[in-house]
Amino acid sequence: MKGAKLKKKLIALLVACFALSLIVACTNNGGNSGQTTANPESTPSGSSGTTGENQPDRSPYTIKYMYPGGTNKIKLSDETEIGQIIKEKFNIVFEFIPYAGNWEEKVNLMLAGGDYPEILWIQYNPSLQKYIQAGAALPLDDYLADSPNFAKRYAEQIPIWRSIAADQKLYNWQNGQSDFMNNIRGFDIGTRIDVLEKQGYPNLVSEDEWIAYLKQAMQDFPTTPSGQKTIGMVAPFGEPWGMAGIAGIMYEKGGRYTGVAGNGAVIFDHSNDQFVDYLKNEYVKESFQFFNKLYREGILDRESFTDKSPQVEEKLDSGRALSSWYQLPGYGTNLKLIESGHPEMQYITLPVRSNTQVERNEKRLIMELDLVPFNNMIITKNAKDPKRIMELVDWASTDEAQILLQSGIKDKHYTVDANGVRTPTDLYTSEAQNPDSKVGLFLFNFLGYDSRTGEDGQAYSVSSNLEYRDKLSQTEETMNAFKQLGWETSFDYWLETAEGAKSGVVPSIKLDPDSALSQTDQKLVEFRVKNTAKLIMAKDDADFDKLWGEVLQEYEKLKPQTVIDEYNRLYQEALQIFK
Amino acid sequence: MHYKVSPGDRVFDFINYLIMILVFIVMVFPFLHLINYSLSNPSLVSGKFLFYPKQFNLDSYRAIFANPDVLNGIYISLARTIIGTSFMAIVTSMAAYVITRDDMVGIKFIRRYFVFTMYFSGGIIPTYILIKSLGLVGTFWVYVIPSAVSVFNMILIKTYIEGIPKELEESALIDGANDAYLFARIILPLCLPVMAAISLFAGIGQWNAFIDTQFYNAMHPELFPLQYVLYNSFQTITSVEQFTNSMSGAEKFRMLTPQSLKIAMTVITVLPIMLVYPFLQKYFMKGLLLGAVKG
Amino acid sequence: MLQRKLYRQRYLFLMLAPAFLLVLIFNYVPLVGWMLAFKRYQVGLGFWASEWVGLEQFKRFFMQSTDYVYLLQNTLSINFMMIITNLTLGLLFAVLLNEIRRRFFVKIIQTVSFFPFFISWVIIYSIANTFLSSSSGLLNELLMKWGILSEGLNILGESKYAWPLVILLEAWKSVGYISIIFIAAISAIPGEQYEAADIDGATRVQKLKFITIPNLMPTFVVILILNSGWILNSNFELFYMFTNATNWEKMEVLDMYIYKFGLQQLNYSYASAVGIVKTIVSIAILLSVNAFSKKMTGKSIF
Repeated sequence: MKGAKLKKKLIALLVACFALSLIVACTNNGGNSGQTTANPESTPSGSSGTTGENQPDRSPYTIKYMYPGGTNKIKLSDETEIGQIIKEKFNIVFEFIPYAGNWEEKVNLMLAGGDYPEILWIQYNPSLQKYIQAGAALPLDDYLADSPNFAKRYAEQIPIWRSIAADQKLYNWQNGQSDFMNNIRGFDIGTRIDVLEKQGYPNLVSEDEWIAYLKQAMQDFPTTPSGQKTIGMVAPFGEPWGMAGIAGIMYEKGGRYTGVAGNGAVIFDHSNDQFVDYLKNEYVKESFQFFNKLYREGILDRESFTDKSPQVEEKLDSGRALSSWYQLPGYGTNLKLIESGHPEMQYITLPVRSNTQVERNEKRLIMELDLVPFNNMIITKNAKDPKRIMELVDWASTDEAQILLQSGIKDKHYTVDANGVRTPTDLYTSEAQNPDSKVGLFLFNFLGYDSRTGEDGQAYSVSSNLEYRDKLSQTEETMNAFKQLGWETSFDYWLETAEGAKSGVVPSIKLDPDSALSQTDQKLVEFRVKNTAKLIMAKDDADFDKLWGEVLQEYEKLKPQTVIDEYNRLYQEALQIFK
Repeated sequence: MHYKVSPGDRVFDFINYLIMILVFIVMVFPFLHLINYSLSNPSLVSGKFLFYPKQFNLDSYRAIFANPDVLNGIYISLARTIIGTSFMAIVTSMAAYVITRDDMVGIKFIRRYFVFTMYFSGGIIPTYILIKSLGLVGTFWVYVIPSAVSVFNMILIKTYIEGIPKELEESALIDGANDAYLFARIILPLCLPVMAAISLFAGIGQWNAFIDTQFYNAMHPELFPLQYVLYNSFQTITSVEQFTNSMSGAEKFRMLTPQSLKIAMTVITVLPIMLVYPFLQKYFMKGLLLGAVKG
Repeated sequence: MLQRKLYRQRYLFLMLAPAFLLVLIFNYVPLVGWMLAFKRYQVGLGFWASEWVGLEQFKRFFMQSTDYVYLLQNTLSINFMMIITNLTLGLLFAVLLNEIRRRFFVKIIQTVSFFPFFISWVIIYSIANTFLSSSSGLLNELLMKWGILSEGLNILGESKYAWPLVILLEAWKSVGYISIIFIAAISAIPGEQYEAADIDGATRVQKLKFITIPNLMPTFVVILILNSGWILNSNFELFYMFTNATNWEKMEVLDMYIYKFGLQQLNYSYASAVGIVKTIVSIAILLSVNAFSKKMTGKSIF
């Protein structure tokens, strides 16, 4: 009868668990039943009209904001100081929900199911178009009259934003307008400072200098102090944008060309003011050749083709990577290295140019983005009170708001001197470097984030202050390395050799996603991605040239010129309208 | 049984044992490595394989459990594992019994009706729209209801039931039992092994699941199961960030993901299963045996 | 008469009802979505309003691209090899395990062999990365240390390793589970056969070769047939994790293709069309393998 007793006990246990879990489920569900559809549980909907113009609706309004990437530790915006201020003014609180899967897929899926949140961040134009076509995005024209600040700040952009939609209505805004001065920082290749030191702090620029340097580096530093084999250069080619976006990116390090967001088959030629083919570009070819040489010398990480950012990051954090392409080791990596007892293995970022670029010695062009087509925000049909949201967005467009959102609170996070110059305080520095910071800096970028220089000649973010920048991102050792190189700041080189290039309407030129040409564009990119690896792994120069010839031949069969022509045609049209 | 032990046999035995040891290593070592990794200092272990932790520390685990969402995630995961599995067990076993009854009205049609579904599916988007229209999006029940019927499990149970001697059924019927009584009091208790087997499968499926959260409940943090919470909290720089030039250095570094945290999360999700399984193995194997072989 | 029967069996109907309903709702209703394969689906317009285009999507798949060639090649080859490998290894493992005398050892091995089965592919991917990565993975480090190689094998990247990689990983994951079936079958082998062999003075190895394995063949074949119907279905999670820009030629399977177009590009009509093709071909394969087996061995499923 032992078995029966045991069985009885087991059943009792099961029933208990069952009951307990039902309770858990029901309480959790009870909390949700008010949210299964877009039913407001705590807000009146759209009643602001009836309360009269002098009494805007200030009942509590919680908006769920879902975004890709999952590291934001803040759940509710009123946990932060800036969020508190927003709550005081507008009684709006945001609930931040990270999403870890593929964002485009999620965006599409939500559209198909009608399941989208009140405000939404959309990265790619095709998805944006779909939302507009499906009527899921709310037209904002009606609110423009009440949004003077918004209309003023984005006066240049609004007509272009309108042109996205077939019916020429305004459906979105974009965050992250930028200009040269405020966005100058170290680009190109990150490398360990002890490796530099060993070779006497060479001033590296050309690809040949880098190849020689890395070759020597691998001999000088075959292993890390803990005995792991080092890697010449790492790169996250395994990311979805890896092959397409960064293998050929040498083109942006010389003059003339800048990239076009979205990794299409084109890049932009500023000197001739037209779109040109990505694959056939001379600098792109040199880019591939650079990697080919690195590959042949055993410098390029074999795993770079499959590595994604986390793998690259691991290699940087452990100091195994002697250099890194595109994914630049930053302050966080350096801190970790210091912590693990190896401050000498920290990284700094240095420039690189192809041989031709060095010869021509043109100024590098840094795109100044008036249009940020990969950062669209829409208000959706599911929004409970779009008018209030726009009100908030309008406020966010004021200078005071931008300063608040990007620099924090006056006299607490920054001080203003007699000339009106804003300087960050020590509290600002510690907060900016604190992953658990409860200030909320840059947390509200989706409401509008202008990183251009303001009318008073300063950036809204006090950290863009030229003299101050390195304080936030460099350590004692890295600054020393720069000093040895003869630099005063970490971005001296680029300050001297780069200049801004206004992007104008260029970023907004997109092919109609339903058109056959758009499909060709996709095919061209796919083709390029699929063949880049092959080219990089060519056996020698002769092999590379042979492959290159074959690849170009095959490429022509896809008729790339038709796509280029279409881009340029659309560009010319846009210029007519917006010049 | 007596075996004639030839030298060939001895060699065979020896090799066999070697093979088994190899199997053991191949099956166990990956997990051992993971556990050690999660207990080590991340900057010392890149690219190494670990037989023991390096610079033992519980930092990763502390970081994980300091996250209040993790606790809620555990509740939800437990709830869905228990409720989902029980619900599936009840619904599927009842139907399984019915399809063993040749005398059932329309039995041929019914059998085909179920088996047919194993060969096709409607697809992601229609399913999504359906679930949305049923109002299951954003609820706990989306974890339980759509996956409640597994035809494969149904067949396993059916086969098992068919292995039960008919006399038992018949004697109960003589005593005047109706079908429900027959099922609940006689058949079901005898099916414990196969039920244990399918419950284990379903339970693991529920414990490991997170795609359904991603599709249907992504906007409801209170419903995130453990896997989803961990997966979410430790995502690293995404493609977005990489391409947005307009981010200061300070922001960027704040978003780095330690590999060790990810691995610790892996260990947390995997460990419970490994600890529970050996105890259920007996029932599990018996059930599978009888259910699958005849099938 | 029928009514009487229905009444008598009312409990059966009640017991059947939940499953019946659930299957109706969640399995049959979404089939309506197949209609989308014949339309040009625009998300905003919904099902009914989207334009009917007949077989255009099907034409696109077969005539406008040669994609189906490499897709079918990959899908069929990989799945077929997976089934064979899993079954063979499962059978061998079961047979060998059966020969071990010490019960304790057997139990441990059996339990342990099940571990990989419980792990999701997301986690297996990260394990695979740790062990197989070309510069730092255990495998390559050992091979290089022993001088067999001068540089690591890029197993996760190069397409020539794609098939062996997924087949072996799948085998690692499933061998424990599959061996159960064979262990059961072994226990069903009539003892008389072994006794007769003993009388003839057979060694253990001979018994294995001539009794155990042949007796397991019917089970092997049945499972093979059963699985043939699913030969175009791939383990989605597995391929989702391991397909990338450098091994797609050999790694991309039908299910990934459908997913790519369906969710990533929201070209749902095209994805449905491909999905329908897949289902039809699957059923055709299943029926023909079934008929073939019936003819050859008298055994079949339907």
